[in-house]
Amino acid sequence: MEPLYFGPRRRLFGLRSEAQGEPRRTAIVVCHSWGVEYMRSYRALYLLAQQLAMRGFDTLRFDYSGTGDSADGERGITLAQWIEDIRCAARELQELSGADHVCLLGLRLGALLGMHAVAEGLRAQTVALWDAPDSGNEWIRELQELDRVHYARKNRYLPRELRLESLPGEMLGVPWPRALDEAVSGLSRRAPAGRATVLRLRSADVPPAVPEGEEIRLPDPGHWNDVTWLTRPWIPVNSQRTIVSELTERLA
Amino acid sequence: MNERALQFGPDRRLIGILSLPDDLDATRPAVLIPNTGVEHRVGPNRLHIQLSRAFARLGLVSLRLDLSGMGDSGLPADGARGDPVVDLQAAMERLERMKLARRFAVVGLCSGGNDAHRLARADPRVVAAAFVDHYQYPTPRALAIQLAQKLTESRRALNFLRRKWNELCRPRSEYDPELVSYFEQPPREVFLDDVRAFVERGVALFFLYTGENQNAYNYAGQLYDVCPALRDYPLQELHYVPRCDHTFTHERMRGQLIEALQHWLATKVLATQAGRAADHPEQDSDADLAFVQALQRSRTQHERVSAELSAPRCRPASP
Repeated sequence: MEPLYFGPRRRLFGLRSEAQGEPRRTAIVVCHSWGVEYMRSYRALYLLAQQLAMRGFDTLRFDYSGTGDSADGERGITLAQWIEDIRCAARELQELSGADHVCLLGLRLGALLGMHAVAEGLRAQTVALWDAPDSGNEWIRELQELDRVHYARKNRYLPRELRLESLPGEMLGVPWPRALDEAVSGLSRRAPAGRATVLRLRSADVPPAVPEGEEIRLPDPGHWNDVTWLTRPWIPVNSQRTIVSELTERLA
Repeated sequence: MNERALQFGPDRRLIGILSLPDDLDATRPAVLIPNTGVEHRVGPNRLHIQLSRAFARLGLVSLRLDLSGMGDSGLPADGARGDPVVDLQAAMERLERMKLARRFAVVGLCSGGNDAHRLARADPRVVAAAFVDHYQYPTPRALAIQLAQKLTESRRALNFLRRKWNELCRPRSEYDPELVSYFEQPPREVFLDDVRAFVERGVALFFLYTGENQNAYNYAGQLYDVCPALRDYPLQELHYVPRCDHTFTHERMRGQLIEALQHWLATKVLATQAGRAADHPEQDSDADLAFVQALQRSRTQHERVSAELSAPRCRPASP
């Protein structure tokens, strides 16, 4: 695994897991989710990338502008910038690996962003959507509800004068600018016709959605709406195994 | 940004992000920031990033790192769990080899506080240690406050009874996220011995407790009642910030912590360490050093965190 800074003025931080053995023709760009989902799935995506690399896939995980180890603060980020970041990551990985094909593997919001990047013209042969919500609006509502329950739960154990309140412009403590909220609300997981093969990866506790693309059922739950899992490690070992095996079978 | 990813330790399996100030001075201690709980090196809501950039503005090198098995760091080849103290010492050795520092400060939150404490105990190169929400020992006054809170707020009394009822009646699954424990605090006597040893060594100490765990720490100066010798030690600061939660969820809270740490580092560490660290490490042609110098030449303006500018100063606890 190799950490790297890339993109304009090298402001994006990523980690490339180099293919082991005979490299495949497809390289995989992992698109993280955001906020609390990004934090709790971080180690799981590290492990997934390592396993994919062992099957011959060059893999790049990276942080969007204003998130994780990439540059910029959280206040100025825009959807357009994040889409540009995905384009940049795909270009970087193709240059580093020499792969002909790109697969975007996105988790939750990352799935919607990946799909939007393809709709905006990014050339990817496959988009794997892991627990993609129906829309950006639905994803925001789910996080807002978690935010509400999180504070209510904390306040159960605090004296009246120390109670905490959810703040406007933040979701679970991470700044969420209004412009970003409006732009992300409009995102959809609907695939642009004929642009890329769509694989839907669905965790055990995620309800089925309108069939679109091929669905792969995963054995482990995602716990996306469970407040007790907000700050706990999420390592869906069996789901990872399934994803690695399915992608190995399907991608060149 | 003056930031660089470092891979270090056995098989380069550990990873951290080095933040460099505009003016490097290897006589100053470098700050190590281990993981908080299971969150990777960016910290809760990017707190560790904000800390390391604030430390750079104070002129300090810092390394926020993933310990073995956390974030992007691998586990030892033999499949063992890894030891945070060994990992942190590997980081210190790497920074020493890069001629960036010979003395170290360590800043740890929650489980990171436990790691920081163990490192400070084990390694004399640690000259300053900051502990946030780490060990909490009850005192008669804390127990009285806790009891009064439960008696005067029926809601909290009900919660207490409900929790006890659940513990008795509800079967626990094999893995219950509610039962995850990140560290065990040492017995009070061991803690007191450690503090005594830190004071004898002249280690600068910073303690901050948030108001989230009212059952364990609930008034300003509680630690002084546990450890009276600490009160008169000039290189320490003790803060109690009741309107702040354990993960510093709001930007305002993160700003308070950063400002308090900056103040402690400036007044209790930099001001007092300057006289001691007259022995400048010699420069050499090490590739890492060349890289650091190249980075310095191409430095860019660090972003300022608006929260730090607007947050009110957090007051040391009154005895």
